[in-house]
Amino acid sequence: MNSENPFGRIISANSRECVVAYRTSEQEIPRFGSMVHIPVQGAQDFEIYGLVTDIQIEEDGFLRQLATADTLPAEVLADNRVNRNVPIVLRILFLGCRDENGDSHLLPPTPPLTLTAIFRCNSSEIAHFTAHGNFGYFRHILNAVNAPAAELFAVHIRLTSIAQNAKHNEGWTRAAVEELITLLQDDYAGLTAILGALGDADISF
Amino acid sequence: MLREQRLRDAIELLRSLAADPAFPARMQQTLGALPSERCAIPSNERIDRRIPAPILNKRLTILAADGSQINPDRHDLVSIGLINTAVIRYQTGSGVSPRIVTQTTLLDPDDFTADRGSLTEDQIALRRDVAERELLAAEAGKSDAGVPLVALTDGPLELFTLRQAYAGQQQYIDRYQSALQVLFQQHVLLAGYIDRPRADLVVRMLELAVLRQDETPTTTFVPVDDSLLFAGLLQAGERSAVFGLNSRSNRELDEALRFSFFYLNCGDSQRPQIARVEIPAWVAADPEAIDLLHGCLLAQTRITEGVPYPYILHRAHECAVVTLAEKERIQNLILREYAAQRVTLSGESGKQRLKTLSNRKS
Amino acid sequence: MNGNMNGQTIGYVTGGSLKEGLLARLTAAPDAVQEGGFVVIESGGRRFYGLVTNLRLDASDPRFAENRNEQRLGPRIGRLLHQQTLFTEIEILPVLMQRVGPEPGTAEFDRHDNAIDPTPVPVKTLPAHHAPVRPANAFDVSEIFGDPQEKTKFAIGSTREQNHPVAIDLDKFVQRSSGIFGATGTGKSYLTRLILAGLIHSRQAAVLVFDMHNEYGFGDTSPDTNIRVPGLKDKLSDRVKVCALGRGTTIDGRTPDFDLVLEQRDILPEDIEMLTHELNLRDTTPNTLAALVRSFGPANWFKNFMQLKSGEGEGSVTEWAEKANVHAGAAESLQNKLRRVIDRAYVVEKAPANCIRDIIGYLKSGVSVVLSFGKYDSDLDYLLVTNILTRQIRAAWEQQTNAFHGSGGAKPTPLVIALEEAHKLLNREMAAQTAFSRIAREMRKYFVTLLVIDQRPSQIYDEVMSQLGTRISGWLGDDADIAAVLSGLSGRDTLRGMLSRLQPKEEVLLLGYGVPMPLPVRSRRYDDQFWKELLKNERPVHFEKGKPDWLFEE
Ligand SMILES: Nc1ncnc2c1ncn2[C@@H]1O[C@H](COP(=O)(O)OP(=O)(O)OP(=O)(O)O)[C@@H](O)[C@H]1O
Ligand SMILES: [Mg+2]
Repeated sequence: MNSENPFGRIISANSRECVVAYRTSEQEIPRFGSMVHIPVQGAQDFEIYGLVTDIQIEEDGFLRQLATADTLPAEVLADNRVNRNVPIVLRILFLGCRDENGDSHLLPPTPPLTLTAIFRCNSSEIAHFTAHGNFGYFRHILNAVNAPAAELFAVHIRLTSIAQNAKHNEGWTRAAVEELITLLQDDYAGLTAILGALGDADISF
Repeated sequence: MLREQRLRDAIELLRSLAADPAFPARMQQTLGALPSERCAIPSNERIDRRIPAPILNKRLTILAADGSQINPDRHDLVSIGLINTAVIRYQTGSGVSPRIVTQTTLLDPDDFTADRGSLTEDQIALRRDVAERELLAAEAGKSDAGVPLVALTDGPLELFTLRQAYAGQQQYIDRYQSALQVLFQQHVLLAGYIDRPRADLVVRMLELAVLRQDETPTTTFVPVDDSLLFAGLLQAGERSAVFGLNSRSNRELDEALRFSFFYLNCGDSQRPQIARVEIPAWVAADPEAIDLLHGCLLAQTRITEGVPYPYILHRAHECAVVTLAEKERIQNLILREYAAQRVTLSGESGKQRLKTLSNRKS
Repeated sequence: MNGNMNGQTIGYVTGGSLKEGLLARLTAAPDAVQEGGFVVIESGGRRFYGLVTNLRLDASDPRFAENRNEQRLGPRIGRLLHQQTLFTEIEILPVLMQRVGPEPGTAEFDRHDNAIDPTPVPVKTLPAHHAPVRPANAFDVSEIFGDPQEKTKFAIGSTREQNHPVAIDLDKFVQRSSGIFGATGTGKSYLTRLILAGLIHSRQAAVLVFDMHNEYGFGDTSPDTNIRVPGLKDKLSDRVKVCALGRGTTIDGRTPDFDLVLEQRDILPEDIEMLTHELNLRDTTPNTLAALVRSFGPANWFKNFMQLKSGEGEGSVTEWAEKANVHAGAAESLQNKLRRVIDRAYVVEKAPANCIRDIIGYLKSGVSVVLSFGKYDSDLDYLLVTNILTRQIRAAWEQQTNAFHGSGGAKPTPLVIALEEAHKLLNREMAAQTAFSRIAREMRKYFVTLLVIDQRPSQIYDEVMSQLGTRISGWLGDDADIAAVLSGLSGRDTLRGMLSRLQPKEEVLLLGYGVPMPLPVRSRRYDDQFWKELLKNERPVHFEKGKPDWLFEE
């Protein structure tokens, strides 16, 4: 799936984040911690950049019944894994937006409307947005409630460093880690958790 | 109390009739006088027969079809009519993930825009039934010859009888029958699965069987219906005898295509659950086919524990259903297309535009 | 020096006050600075000069310091973490500041009123937050301490980290009394030799050295290294006379330029009173002495008194005592005790030449004199000789100065009297009686100053201590000694630590109002190389490089 194809639609949104419904039968599941963009049309068109902070498979009574069965035919297992349209719900944390003036790490002026399609960011969009300014969008991740910040940063920095390296911006990763350390100096537990996760992500810089 | 008493009476009657070798012929005679009476007809199996679950030792391919429809709504910004059908192909014992085929048909807006009268829900349902059978027939054709092929639909095989005939209806009935013909030709083990049936076809037969000459039929056993009757009769996994179906529409069909049915207890020893399985004549005439079907349905209903319903039919339903979100998505696509064509909705004829659009799409 | 030779920034200011000094966050490795390091802070067109007085390992959260996270996070992330969360804070004592104006060529420079301070002034304001801190470079050091290549400047050592030469101003040095302190073996005598060599060589002053241990004239062999170092006479023979106490005395087998003998008439009652302790004199002594002067006159009292016989009768002490109305016993006891003085071989009735006048003559003419005590190494010798000599010198310089001011006589040659074991003469009891305390207090008006050299500064009368403009101190272990060296100076608390943490040898702290700012320096080495440089007037002054001088990219 290329970035031109929407992979889900917004079912609710506020100024900070939105919830997107998505079907498993669509082949590529957007990854946890990956970046998406959401075109918003209105008085002023803009594009919201966001981060997948949670992926939840919705409650499904049928699956529950299957799950309690003693034995399941292999076909049924395969069917459920490959075919079934179990709705997946993604939470997208807004990181900033882009309008005709360029990228910004401020939250979007208005949330997107429901059923707006959302798109995966390609490598160059990721590189462009994350290299803008001075990591201002980190604060949105740090302020996010109920989001596993350490895991998000680990994945985000790993994915983004690939995108940045492709643009020969090798210094990005190191600067990003330094910025995190600066931001979290007073939060020992938070910082060591994030750095621990970065260590697990085996990020090279 | 009354119900139990009447159930016992009904079962007793069933058994006594079964023991009477003259009963089938007598029943034929009775029904000859009541051609429009919807009820069961004894077949060559004893009517109180209980056939235990067969051992299923063959690989099967099962197809299941289901459909859904969106009825046009005048209140929508863009009113659409839509039929979505899905067939799922399941190969038992293969371990392979089932394949799903869906087909979506946007209805011709001419058929439901105000100036030419609008399609009723029933009319769309008929088209949907036809579409389901046609898709099933098409998919059956793609199957492996060596492996027995079971084809299931949710609900009766018999077409829903329409209160009022209308122009163009026959066309769909014909198409329906040609689809059945295709399945017949390939000896597909076609069955319609009716979950928790409310019918009283067999009870009605019992009532008619004891009717004296010139008596008008009475509902002696109410509130006992077939489900209750067979729940009292069949052990878990057992099926009933095959019965013929006495109904006007069935009579109108080719003999080979006429429908029979049997009951199946797909519950467990604690909680019997009765389903009715409708089969065409070519299946009814093949005891081995009935065994396969019996075994196959039992296996399917046992995949989901505690909720006996064929797994594959559930899945066909899931695939066919059109969610509200999907409906809106389609409407948005149409709106976007309008915008691309610089058409305003308040302009001339919305119908015209939609027509243009659907022509372009098809 | 407004150039961009500011070198590497090692940190930035994070806080502080005039009273408590500045705090700066170190951005360089902790070992880039040391306590006592000379740092410069540029802020708002001003340059602040200060001393690092403390270093502290700190962390943005103590847990970053307590837990060894790099083991858990791996070296790369661990390093980044520690770079930001673990840091060194330095405390800086700002001492001087100087308006230098903006960099030429900048917009500020054009707008600037060009008000600049020609010399640094004491700190009265503070640099702004985040002002960069850098180690002082050679230009800064010379801006503050003067260019060591100038004639009146003398390189006494070098900064410890970057080895920039640090000079003292010889002009100023001779205008006020000075002190060189340090525990035994810290290099006082070596340093004194250096400074005296510089002084004599520069002709800034004549020097009289009371060389108690015979170290200065003909040099000395270091007991530590067994290396013989030359004396002042060896290298500056035309400007230095060695004078030995007592007739025919040799110093280390070498003959002095002349001998010093004292005539009995040179001895005054005050010289005797000063020996109260050494001679164990009674309380009545001053009375007796006064009576003696009344009877025999100030010049002959000693000779006549000592000639009085013991016992009764004519010409006896008793007879004189009765006449003079003093207690006979007391007079007899005094005479007995004074035998120790008259028995000194260098005390004679009539000297062949007037040695003291010769010494004064040399000094007046700008020739320095090293007075070696030879074998006379008792306190009595030291006290007696230095006191008598100094008194006469004082009188001579007073007279000369008065003539200079009054009748247009020649300007007296500045004289520096170097005094080893100074506490013997300048302790609390003695200070009132010896000539030295007066010199220390008021003789600078008469062009005479002291260079006191001592290992027990706490024993020196504090009034004298307070007069010492330049104090150069090596390591001191004793708290009282440290307190004495620092008395009257601001920033004592921070300097105290610095003093006690000097290297045990060849490191000194420059202190006092005679130096622009306190600074620990590595002493210049006193060796052949030094002499070569001094005498050939080699330029530039060259120092062994202890560390790579990273201020100057080569
Ligand atoms: N500037 C120097 N150059 C070369 N050697 C030095 C210097 N300063 C000190 N030393 C070494 O240290 C030793 C002790 O120095 P010095 O004799 O000057 O100490 P001191 O302070 O005068 O001791 P004391 O109080 O016992 O007289 C010397 O013998 C010499 O080896
Ligand atoms: Mg010494």
